[in-house]
Amino acid sequence: MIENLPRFPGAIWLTLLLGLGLNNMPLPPEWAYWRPDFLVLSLIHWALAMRQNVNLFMAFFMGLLADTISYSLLGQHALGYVLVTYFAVRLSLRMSAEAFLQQFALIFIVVGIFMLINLWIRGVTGNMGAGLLYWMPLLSSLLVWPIYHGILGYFYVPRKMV
Amino acid sequence: MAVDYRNPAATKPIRTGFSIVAYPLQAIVDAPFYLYSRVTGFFSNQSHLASENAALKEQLRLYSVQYRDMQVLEQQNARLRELLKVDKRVGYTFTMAEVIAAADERGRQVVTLNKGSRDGVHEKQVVLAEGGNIYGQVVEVTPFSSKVMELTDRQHAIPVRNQRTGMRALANGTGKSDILELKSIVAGSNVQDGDVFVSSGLDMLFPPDFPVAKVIPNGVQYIPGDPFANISARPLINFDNTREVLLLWRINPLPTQVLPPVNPSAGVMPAKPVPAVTNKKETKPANKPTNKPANKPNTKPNAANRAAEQPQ
Repeated sequence: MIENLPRFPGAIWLTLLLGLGLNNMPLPPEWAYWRPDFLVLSLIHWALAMRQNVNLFMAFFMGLLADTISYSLLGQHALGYVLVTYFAVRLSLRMSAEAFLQQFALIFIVVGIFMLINLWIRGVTGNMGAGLLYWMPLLSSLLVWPIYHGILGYFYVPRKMV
Repeated sequence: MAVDYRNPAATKPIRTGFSIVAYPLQAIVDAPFYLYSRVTGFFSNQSHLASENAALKEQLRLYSVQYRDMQVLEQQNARLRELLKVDKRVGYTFTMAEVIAAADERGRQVVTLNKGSRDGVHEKQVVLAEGGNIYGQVVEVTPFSSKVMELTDRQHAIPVRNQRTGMRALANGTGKSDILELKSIVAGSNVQDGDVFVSSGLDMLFPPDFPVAKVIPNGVQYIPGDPFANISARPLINFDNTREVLLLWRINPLPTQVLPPVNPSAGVMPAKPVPAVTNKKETKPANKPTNKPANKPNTKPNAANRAAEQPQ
C-alpha cells in the first residue's frame, strides 16, 4: 500500500492559499469568465492524493476567507468548499487515482455541484449572473486539471507502507 | 448565511477578522503587478520622462494660478454666504489610495484599497477616481485595508440629477463595469442620448454635482405599455483599469438642522435650480430620493439592496 505524505509541514495550506491567490489574480473581464476555481481543484487534488489529511474545517476556513475577499455572502463559498471536499473524498474511494477519465468525471460532478450551489445562493439573494457563460469554468477546470494536478504533485511524496 | 443576508451588521466582526487575515495574501497577489508598474516606470525613456515632466510643470503652473483664483472666489463665496446667513460651504480633503485587489464574484464590483482605519478611512466614505468622478463608497474597513463598493455593483444605488434638465433619478449598478441603469423614469421626461447625470447629493453621502454617468446612444428605452422608461448610462470612469483613487473627507460635517425657517432666501435657494418643467415629473422619481435621506445614513447598502431586489 502506498501512502502519501506532505513534502513539508504546511504544504496543504500553502497549496490552498495558492489556489485562493490564483482565484483572485486580476484578469481582463472576458478572460475572467473562463477562470476555474483553483481552490476547488486544490481540494480535489488533496482528496485524491491524501484523503486522511484534508478536513472539512480547512475547507470551511478557506471558504470564509474566499467570501471576505470576494465580498460574497458570508458562508457561500464556505458551504461550497465543504461539500466539494466531502464529495471528493467520498468519490475518490471508488476510483483509481491514475485513470484520467475517471478523474474528469469526478471533477465534472464536484465542480458542477459547487457551481450549482453558488448559483442557487446567488439566485436567492438576487445576484444572478450571466446565463450560459456562468458554466464556462466547468470546461476550463477540466482543461486546467492535468497541469494543475501535475504541479501540485510536487507537494507530496509517496511512501511505501509495509 | 441567512444572518449575513438579513443583518450584515451582525457578521461584520467576522468579516473584518477574515479580511485582516486575507490582506497579506491580497498584497502578495498584487505584488507582481505593483512591481511591474514600478519597473516599467523606472525603465521608461528619458526623453519621454523629460517631456512629461515639462508638461506636468506647465499644468502645475496653470493650476496654481487657477487655484489662486479659486481662493478669491472661495473667500467671496464665504462672505456672501455670511451676508445671506446661509450655512458654510462644505469643504473636502483628499488622500490617494491604491486598488490592490478586485473581487471576482459576478455582479459584485468591490475592490480592496491599501488604506484602512489606520489612515483614517471610515465606512460610508466617498471615493473618487482620477478626474474627480465618483467611484464608490467604502463598505468595510480593517486597520490596513478597506473595501470599496463601486457604483456599478448590483447592490449599489446613487441619487443623480440630469445636468441639463435637473430631473432627479436613481442610478443603479448592474454588476457590469460599464453600465448603470436608471429605472422608472417617467416616459414623458426629456432625457436624450449624451445627457450627463451628476450626483444630486440628496443621500447626504455623495457630494453634489460630481459627474457620474452619461447616457449611451440609444440608451433611453421605452417599453410599450410601460409608463416608465429605462435608461442605460455609461459611467464616466473605466472601473476595470482604475488603479489610483482618491479618498474624500468632509472638513466641516453637514449640519443637520441649523437654520430655523426665518430666512426666506435660504429656503428658496435649493429649490431654484430645479426648473418648473420638472414639477409634473417629480411625482414619481422625486419621492424616491427625497425619502432616502431619512433612512440613508445607517442602511445605505441595505436600502440599495432592497431596491435591487425588487425587480426579481
